[in-house]
Amino acid sequence: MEPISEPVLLILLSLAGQPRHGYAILKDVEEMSGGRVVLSTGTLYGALRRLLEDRWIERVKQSDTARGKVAYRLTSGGRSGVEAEVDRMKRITRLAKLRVAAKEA
Amino acid sequence: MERLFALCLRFYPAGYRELFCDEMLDVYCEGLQAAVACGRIAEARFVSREVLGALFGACREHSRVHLGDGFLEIFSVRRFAMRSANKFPISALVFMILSLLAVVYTIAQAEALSLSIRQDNPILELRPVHFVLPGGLLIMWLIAGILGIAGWAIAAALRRSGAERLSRTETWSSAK
Repeated sequence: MEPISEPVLLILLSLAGQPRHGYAILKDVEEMSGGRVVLSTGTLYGALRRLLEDRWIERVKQSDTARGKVAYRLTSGGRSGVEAEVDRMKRITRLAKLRVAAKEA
Repeated sequence: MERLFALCLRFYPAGYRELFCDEMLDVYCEGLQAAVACGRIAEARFVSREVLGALFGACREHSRVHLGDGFLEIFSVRRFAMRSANKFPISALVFMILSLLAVVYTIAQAEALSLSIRQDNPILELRPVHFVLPGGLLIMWLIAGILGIAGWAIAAALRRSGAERLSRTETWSSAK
């Protein structure tokens, strides 16, 4: 599996904790990245459409809002994908630490 | 401003509009409210980012529907996030400049040749093309420069919107 792009990973991480609707995802991604990744609505929904197609996320109706907003949540497949990506990043970090330490020594 | 964004959403394919456009408009309105509270500049930045993002998204969806997922990769505007395999090589730039110089030289030679031919056949009435080289070149470079700056501005705005960073989204298909 190839690496997931940063915005998509942030979207998935945003949904890892709880189901969120579109605007909440945008704000969460911006907050998690410290304002570095600011997605437009078109970009966000392009990513959500592909994640839905690949069954990494699913749509759920939020009953606690007056307008019954649609929210998104991770599926078990999506959660496995995120975990695999985090493991991959951990391996790279570990390798980077070793290499940098070897260079300094 | 809401109407402008709604207009942009009309460019999406029908199936996509049916599924997402109401939600997208809601998200836009919420974002716009927050941007308006931050001042005029924040509002202008928000609207331009959203409009460009929506238009780019519409192009992407149409190309996906009609031409498949890989089509946009051919016309990648992600200069800032290109993979090494797709980077624009310097050698290509050199060849493009050489080609342009060759074309300009050929035009100049053709012009000189057409001027040197005597126009003594009254039936044909051949008229030489008056291509004023310095002025014509200047205008050509000016147009190329303006188009280049406009293209760069669009690419920069798309980069800001995060659109170009979706370059690796096709990785999901391998996880199916």
